[in-house]
Amino acid sequence: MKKIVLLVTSLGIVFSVAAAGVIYGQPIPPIPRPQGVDPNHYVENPAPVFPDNSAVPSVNLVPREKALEAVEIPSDAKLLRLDLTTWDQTEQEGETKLIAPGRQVWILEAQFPEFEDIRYGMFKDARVTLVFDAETGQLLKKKVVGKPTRIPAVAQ
Amino acid sequence: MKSVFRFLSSIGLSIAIVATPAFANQYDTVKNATNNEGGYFSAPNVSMSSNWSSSFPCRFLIKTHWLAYNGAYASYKDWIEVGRVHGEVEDNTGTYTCSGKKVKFYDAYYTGYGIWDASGNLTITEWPVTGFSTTGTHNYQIQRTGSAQWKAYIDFTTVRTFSWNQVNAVRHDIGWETNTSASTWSTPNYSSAHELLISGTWQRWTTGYKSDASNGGNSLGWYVKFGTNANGTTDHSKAEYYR
Repeated sequence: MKKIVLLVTSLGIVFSVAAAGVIYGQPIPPIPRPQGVDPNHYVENPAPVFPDNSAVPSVNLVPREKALEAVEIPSDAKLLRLDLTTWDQTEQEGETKLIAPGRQVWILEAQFPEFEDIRYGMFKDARVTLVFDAETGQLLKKKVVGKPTRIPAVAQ
Repeated sequence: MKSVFRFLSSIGLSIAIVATPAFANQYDTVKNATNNEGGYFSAPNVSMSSNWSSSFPCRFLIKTHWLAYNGAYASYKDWIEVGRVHGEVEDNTGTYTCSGKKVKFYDAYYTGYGIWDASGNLTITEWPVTGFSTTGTHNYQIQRTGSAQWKAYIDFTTVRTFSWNQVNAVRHDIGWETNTSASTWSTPNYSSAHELLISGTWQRWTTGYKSDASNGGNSLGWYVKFGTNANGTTDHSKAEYYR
């Protein structure tokens, strides 16, 4: 009887190990790529175009008063935030490798009763976030949340 | 004018003042309304210009593609996009002002998304993308790459990973968008290799329709033609754009 139990147990172990090998040994299916495109061409983790500059002193960055000039804030609007921070503190909807997490940025947030976006037109009750590179002044991210007065073509 | 309002008010009428959009964007696009998990196209970087200048700092011209998704508000679509842009971009060291924002000239790429909430609020987010050549042929791709994850690629390089819950898109749009009649491009101007990722396999477009001057999508006279196969049938995987 002991021999049977031993045999069943050892067989169980063998099958378990084999099954685990099937599960863990299988390669992850490759992500399908468009026709004629060599999957080896893909660069999933590109080097940053905006490298880490967390050591750059603030005297060498866009000054606060210049950062504030990015957008006109009329008397009926409200500046909610203007902070010098790093890129990783601004990423909530995913990520990009093109900007290093430690890149210094200005983040400006404001609330507008009406905000005219250059591409999408007028938004009512809009919360606007602009993130600029603190060294060059270049826009890195724009976010507008509000009720649009016209519907973008792609949304229709 | 005030007396007119007072008069109308006195007789119980009111006028709804509707804000007129400052810019009515124009489009020249081809569309494919097939459910998919990715969209791709290839295009040469023809000479394109929004004719942006210090006198006209609000102009832009975009060559791009969008994946559209069923949204949370009414029948409006959410979207992810990635493409090429020539024209204005906000910049806090910009010399010029457009709609109260400092802007400068920008000739590069971008990616972004739009998403509705159930109350009709729209969130639009854009990320300018630099570091890629603006000459030669380029490839643009948006693809679902995991659970709640989609990626935008330029020339097979990930430019953004989106946290995005949708499991499939419902339409793929490819073409041009501008906010000025001054926009120009050189010809021939085409897109090719229009592809959709359907059930795990990339497939060339086999159907599609146009949004251009022929059906009200464009008042500038811009129009688009699908390609033609050797046997004379329509090839939806190619399009030529005219102005």
